[in-house]
Amino acid sequence: MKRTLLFTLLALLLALALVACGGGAEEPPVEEPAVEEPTAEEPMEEVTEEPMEEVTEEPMEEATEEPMEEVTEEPVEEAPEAAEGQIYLMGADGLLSATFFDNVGEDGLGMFFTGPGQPETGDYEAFVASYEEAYGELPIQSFHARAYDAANMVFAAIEQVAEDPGDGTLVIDRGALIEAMYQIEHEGLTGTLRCNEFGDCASPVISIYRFQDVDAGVQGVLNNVLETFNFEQPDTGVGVVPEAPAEDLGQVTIASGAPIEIASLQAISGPVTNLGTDQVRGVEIAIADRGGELLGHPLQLSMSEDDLCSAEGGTTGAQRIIANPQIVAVIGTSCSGAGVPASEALSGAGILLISGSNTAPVLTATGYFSEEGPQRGEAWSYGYFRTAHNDEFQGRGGAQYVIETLGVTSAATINDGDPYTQGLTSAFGGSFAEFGGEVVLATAVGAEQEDMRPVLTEVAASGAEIVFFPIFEPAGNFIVLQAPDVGLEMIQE
Amino acid sequence: MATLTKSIRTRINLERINWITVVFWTIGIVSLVLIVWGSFNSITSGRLSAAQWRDLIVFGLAQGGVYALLALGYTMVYGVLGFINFAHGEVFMSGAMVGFFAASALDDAGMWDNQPALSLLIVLAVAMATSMLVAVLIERVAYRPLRAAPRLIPLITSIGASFFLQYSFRGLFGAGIKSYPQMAALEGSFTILGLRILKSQSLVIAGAVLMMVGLYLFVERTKTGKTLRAVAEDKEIAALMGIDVDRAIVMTFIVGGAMAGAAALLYSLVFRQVSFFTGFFPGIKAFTAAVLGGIGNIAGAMVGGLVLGILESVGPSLVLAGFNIPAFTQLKDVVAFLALVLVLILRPTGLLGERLAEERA
Repeated sequence: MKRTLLFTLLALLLALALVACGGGAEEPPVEEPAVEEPTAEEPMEEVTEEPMEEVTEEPMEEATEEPMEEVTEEPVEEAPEAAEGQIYLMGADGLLSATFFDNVGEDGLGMFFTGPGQPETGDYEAFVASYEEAYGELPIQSFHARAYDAANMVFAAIEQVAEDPGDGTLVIDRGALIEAMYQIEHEGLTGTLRCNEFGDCASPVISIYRFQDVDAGVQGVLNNVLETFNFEQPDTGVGVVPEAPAEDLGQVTIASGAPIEIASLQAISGPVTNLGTDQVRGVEIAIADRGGELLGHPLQLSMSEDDLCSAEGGTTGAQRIIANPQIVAVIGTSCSGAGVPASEALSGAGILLISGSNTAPVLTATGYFSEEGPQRGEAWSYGYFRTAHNDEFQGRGGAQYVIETLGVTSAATINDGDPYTQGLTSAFGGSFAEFGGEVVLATAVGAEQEDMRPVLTEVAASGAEIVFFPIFEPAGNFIVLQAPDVGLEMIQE
Repeated sequence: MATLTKSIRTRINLERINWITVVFWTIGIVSLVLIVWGSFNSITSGRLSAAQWRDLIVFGLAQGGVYALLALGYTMVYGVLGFINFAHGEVFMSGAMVGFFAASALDDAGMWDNQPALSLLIVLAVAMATSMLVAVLIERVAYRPLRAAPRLIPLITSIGASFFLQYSFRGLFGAGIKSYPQMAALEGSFTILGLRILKSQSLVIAGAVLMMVGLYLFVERTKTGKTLRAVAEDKEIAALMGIDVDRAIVMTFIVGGAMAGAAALLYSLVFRQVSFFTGFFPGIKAFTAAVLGGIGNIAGAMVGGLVLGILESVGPSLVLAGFNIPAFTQLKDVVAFLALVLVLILRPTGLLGERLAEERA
């Protein structure tokens, strides 16, 4: 009895641990350690050796110095050959959060980040002012403006397709709403937003930030832009409506005087709370800016679900939303890992989903920089849109900065098994190799892993000059804090 | 070696060979072969220098020290009460979280950097006190009423207690991560016998060893320790001998809690980030370590903890890298649990043997 009990418990724990360390993405077999992690091989395959001069569908990035921040052009153009044990650290938008900078403090000084460019228009300043007034603090992450724009696009689409049969009720056809989104053109805080047939609606603007002021926190970083890459949105598929999965996706009937309900599915708990909360606030400000009403009906964010920044959260949240037939559209998710199942579920129910921060290429299209042009991503769904950039552009911008401005030729990448992190490290690795660099180590850690010293030892052994780890807290914190322990000193000039 | 052969011989009792035994043994042997092969490839490829291998071992020892202290709590409760106290990870977490507040208060007062030894002792006292309190509370509230119940019941209760504690702490202190202040005295490293050890790690290893030695002496040499051992051996006879069994059990939880509190401080010095969820994974790993070393056996918990720590640290780089598996660093848990499975196949009572309260007929 004791023995069986013990064995059952151990089997349970083994299963738990395997799920935990696989990040949910892969299910390694129980006994033999023969697991295939696709990350390492991909960057090599994406290199098609095509020169950047592709004219037809390639998004020609403008000469990168043009309408630029260039706030602090790095005086060190050619970074000196990194001394033994010295390395650049580069993260991405997952770590552009107030709590990350509070937690790593001085130890994180000098770290680079790739992330969405912050808008420069006067309207953005007004937005920040409303944000501060409503919540008592400045924005806590980097995607608030995109969530605001996403909400406004939905409202504009609703305005276009909602029909009043004449008795004060409102009928919104889900199919028509989604079709309208594919064709809409919207001037938002982040620029002109037009959706292509894959769901990418934004002109990708990627900025490179650097953490150089401990007291200024995340705001200081977002204001410390080293370079901005304004990629032009490629014209492929813009305004094209893909084929709907079904003739009739249903309708929402809103009684006279009843509110138009939208839902949000964001990461509002856990280590990435800031990412979700920042965006929920953006949506709330969008509603407030409309006076809380649309087409004579009150406008309400009636469900605020938690995507837990994981596939499980995305699935549960989506199911809860689907169970409410009055929800017209959903603003979410925060994390691409949650976005994959959520977009599938919501698309199956005909509900429009638009994200202000999902950036994984698989959710919309891959291959923007390839010869054939963009193809639907594996997790593409009908009715899924996003106002955030596609990570293929972020990977490219990051790689270009690293090669050209930092002068680095060998890189290590670390992801955590999540679709967003995997997509971004592949995109970075592919672009990096295209520009002539070499990815000497492409590895992964568990999202819950605390001891990063073994992986950092591997990074040190690989001789990489920069380590790119577009992961989340707390894993990102551990990497920054433990790098000195293995003799890796971050280059801070 | 003799005990290993003997245990193998007892396994191969010809009357009891069936296909399950054969499957287990094949798995065991194949895994061993793969491990040796992978390690050989890894070491000969020269990817990591000798210094880096030594570094990995030291990391593993530091991590293992924390696991060992936690495993002691699991093993003692199992030895006395016969069930796994899944809430022990949360006992650890509570010490770490409350210790954070003490540490940041000391940091604000400037004492953290100026008087490191005193500050550490204060935070240690706070963490240990909190952990002890939480442990005693769950014993009184969750486990004592179920003393007479079949052993599966308190186990399930402990899982419930674990969730309750996690989310209570989340409700009280928020879902965010709390970051311990860096201690200036613990920055940097020093070299002993050509081995480079970080100051924080040396403190962890030394602290863990001290606490384990202290506990061993307590259990073996003092009267209270004898009481605990008596109750662990046979509760009813101990009661007949005039031992207050209830008090002894509370004492067990107190001692386990104290170890968890010490582990919390050491963990916080090394990793510095704590949140309401911090206790979950170390708790599972520590339980694994306890089983690895022999559940119910105190020395076994210590050995199991250290072994597990080293396996997790060195394992992926040693075994998995040899097979050119990409992103092998993500699979440290696979290595750890594989080791557990192997030990249980080849030596089911754990490395140092089980010591359980006797079954009543």
